[in-house]
Amino acid sequence: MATRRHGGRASPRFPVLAAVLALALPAAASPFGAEGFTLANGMQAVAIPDRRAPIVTHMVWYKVGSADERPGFTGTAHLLEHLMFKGGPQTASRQLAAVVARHGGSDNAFTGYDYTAYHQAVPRQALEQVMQLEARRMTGLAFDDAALEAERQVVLEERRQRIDADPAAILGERLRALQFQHHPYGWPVIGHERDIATLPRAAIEAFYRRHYAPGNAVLVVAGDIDAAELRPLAERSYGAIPAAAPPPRARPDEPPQSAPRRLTHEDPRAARPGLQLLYRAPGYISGDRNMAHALEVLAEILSGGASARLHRHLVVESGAAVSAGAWYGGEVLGPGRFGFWAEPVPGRGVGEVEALLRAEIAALLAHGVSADELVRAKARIAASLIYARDRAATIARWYGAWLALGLAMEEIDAWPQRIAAVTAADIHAAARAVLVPRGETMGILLPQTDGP
Amino acid sequence: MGLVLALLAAMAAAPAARAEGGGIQVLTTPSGIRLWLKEEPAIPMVALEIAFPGGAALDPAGKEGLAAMAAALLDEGAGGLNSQAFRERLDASSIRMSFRTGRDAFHGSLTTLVRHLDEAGELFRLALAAPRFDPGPVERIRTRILAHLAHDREDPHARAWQAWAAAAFPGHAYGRALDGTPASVAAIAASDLAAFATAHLARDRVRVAIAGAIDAAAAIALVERALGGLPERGTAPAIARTEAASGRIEIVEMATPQSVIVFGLPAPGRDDPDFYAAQVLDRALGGGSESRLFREVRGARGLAYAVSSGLYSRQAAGLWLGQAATRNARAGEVLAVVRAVLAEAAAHGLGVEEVADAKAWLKGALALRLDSNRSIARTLLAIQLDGLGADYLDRRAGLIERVTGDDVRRVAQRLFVPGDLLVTIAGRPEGIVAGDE
Repeated sequence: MATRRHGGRASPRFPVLAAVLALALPAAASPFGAEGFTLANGMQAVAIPDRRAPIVTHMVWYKVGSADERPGFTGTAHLLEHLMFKGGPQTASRQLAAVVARHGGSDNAFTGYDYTAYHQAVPRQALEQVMQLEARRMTGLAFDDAALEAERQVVLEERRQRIDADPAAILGERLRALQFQHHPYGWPVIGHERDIATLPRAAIEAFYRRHYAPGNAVLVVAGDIDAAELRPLAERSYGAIPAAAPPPRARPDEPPQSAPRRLTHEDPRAARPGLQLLYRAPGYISGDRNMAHALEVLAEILSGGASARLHRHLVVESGAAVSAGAWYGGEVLGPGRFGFWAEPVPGRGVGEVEALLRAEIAALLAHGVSADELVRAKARIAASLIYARDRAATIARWYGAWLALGLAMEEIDAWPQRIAAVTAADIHAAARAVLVPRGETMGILLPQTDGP
Repeated sequence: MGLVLALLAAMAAAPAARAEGGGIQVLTTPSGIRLWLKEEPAIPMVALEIAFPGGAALDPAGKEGLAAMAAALLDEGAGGLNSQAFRERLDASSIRMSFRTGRDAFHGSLTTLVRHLDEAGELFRLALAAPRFDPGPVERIRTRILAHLAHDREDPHARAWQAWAAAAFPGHAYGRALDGTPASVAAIAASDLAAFATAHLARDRVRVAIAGAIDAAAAIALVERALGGLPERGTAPAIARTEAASGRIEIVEMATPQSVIVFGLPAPGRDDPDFYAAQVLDRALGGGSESRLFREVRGARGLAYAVSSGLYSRQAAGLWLGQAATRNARAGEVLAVVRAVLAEAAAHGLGVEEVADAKAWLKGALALRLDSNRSIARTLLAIQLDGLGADYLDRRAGLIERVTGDDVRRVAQRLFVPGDLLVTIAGRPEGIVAGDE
């Protein structure tokens, strides 16, 4: 079932990737063969060659997302993303869809807090036409009122389907609002229902004109192409768009958290109770990057592979949980998050798995991670780098997301080496800095109980 | 992508010559297992996909969910290794191994770095030929499946699809839940799991596809090592042929803001001469943003976020199925629009351009799907499961090109007989009454 143009929750993660730069490449080269350049109008571009098949993935990333909206106008970035596919038969939007379809391709888009991306998979020979049309769409969007109102209803249905129909998604939305009380990461990417229902046309168009410009965009093409071949195509299409000064990305800051926060969401449809324990963590862009690398490896030790620590202890050995794990969300412009989840087996309480999880965190803070765990986690991250290269579109997403966040090419290329350099002491220090009680936000999902 | 196919009946263990044009090699191991190989040296990894026809459709009555439970347990201990030891061996070499079942086949998937090929083959062999089904993992996985079933009870999408299967195939294996029911999962014993492995996981049933940095000799060695020790013959029977029932509306009452609507009909299967015409029709009706259902339900009226259709060529029945989710108050309107779209197609067929566009998309889409070793291996496996030859990738475009507007119209008339649509809805739909058409 192909659902198109999903909103929300787009978080292309950097690979939980890798140390291995044992490839015979000079230290500065991209482990993916990626090569970047910048057009005269400020648009960044990167080519990621993969010559196995005559196909390409083409992406344009805009450095704007839901966190660039204003209160009362939540959901603007995402509704705009939907409208980018609307218009009369002669518009770039519709012609682009037609060209892609005629070649058997696929096209879609996604919106996150920090970026919005449009992408197509097409045969190499259709690339230039796709680039021409995507370039026209950057400044030539034209939709009428009827299209806006229909698409507004579509997004409201999308919200019902993704959030309102899913108790775990409702908990996730409430937890964000609890964790981020000032920063826009506290509101949903798809927007609040009332905002979506009332977003005025003028605000959407102003948002588009302000943020959709070559100096605020990143082009990524992966597949049967290299930078030398891409440059003339990019100059003929995107290069023809006049430069415009990119808007500043100023957002309200989130003050430091001073006490633990907790909420319980009760829902009669919550057949699988569970908990989410979230911590504020440094993000790659705004935080301590060394700590970010250490947290990446920590998440792999706790939750990666077939014999991960949390699964082994909470699910296999104690038998208290159906599932348990951890994740690090550092690929953000603003504050990052480190999270844990656990679901009790039927008949056992959320309280029991919470106690077990807290004991795991206490043991981690007391003893850190073992040398053996570290070696294995890094090897798995290294292997996942190689596995990730199997699909050029995956690599395209990583580069696009990181460049849209403002990371330099060299920094992205060096990521595997940074991961390889992480020590057990780095991980221990990062865990102690991040996993502190005053910074936690706990969410519990329970089936509704009768009575008070 | 113009894969030039070369059929090489390779001598046992003799390195086959590399096929010209990077084509597909069909090889045979010393113990007689056939495998399809696409050599792709660029990245030092190998993707192996296998399948045993049968799958969940062959679960014994009262033991529904057996194949799914076996799939979850094959990497939970095998040979001399208990669950933890087995999984640590996988992790130590960054090997990814998984099993799952469909209704028509039981699937295994192995991804490894070239340098761990031997270890990967050995662990895959153990999982398939010597699964332990120890009490600890069996009870743990049973608990996980029961939790998953409880979750599905509250999921309107899962309920609507399951209701459709049950209404379409009463009394047939296709009508039962793939993962079983709480009662049937509770009834599965370790001896059932062992019997499943014996009946299903045999050399005469297995289909194999490999893509990656591996040559013919190494691929033969890998498959021989991993699968050569399986019993020569399994005992699982074929799936009984059937046809979906039609002409009813069933409602699964659920307290949700949206109604999930599933609608479908019997359709031409793989072996039907109208199969490719049905593919063209399906693409034009419910594939992509220019399709009729997308335009009418979503684009023009904003009635749904997701609306689409698909053609499913099950081994024992062909199906055309669609789905949409809309707020409860508009469910009646959505169903009316869907019916009007189908009636229009049956009355007038498709436009000349629509047919051309749908054919162009179908022809191009396959090459774009072959975008990784993993998906190449999966595609080669799917072609084998459909009983098609290795030349299918070359023949397919011609089969699609041959479809005419008249073919499509004839298929639309054959499919969309008024009153035949089988509809199941989960939610609290307004403007729809359950019952026979």
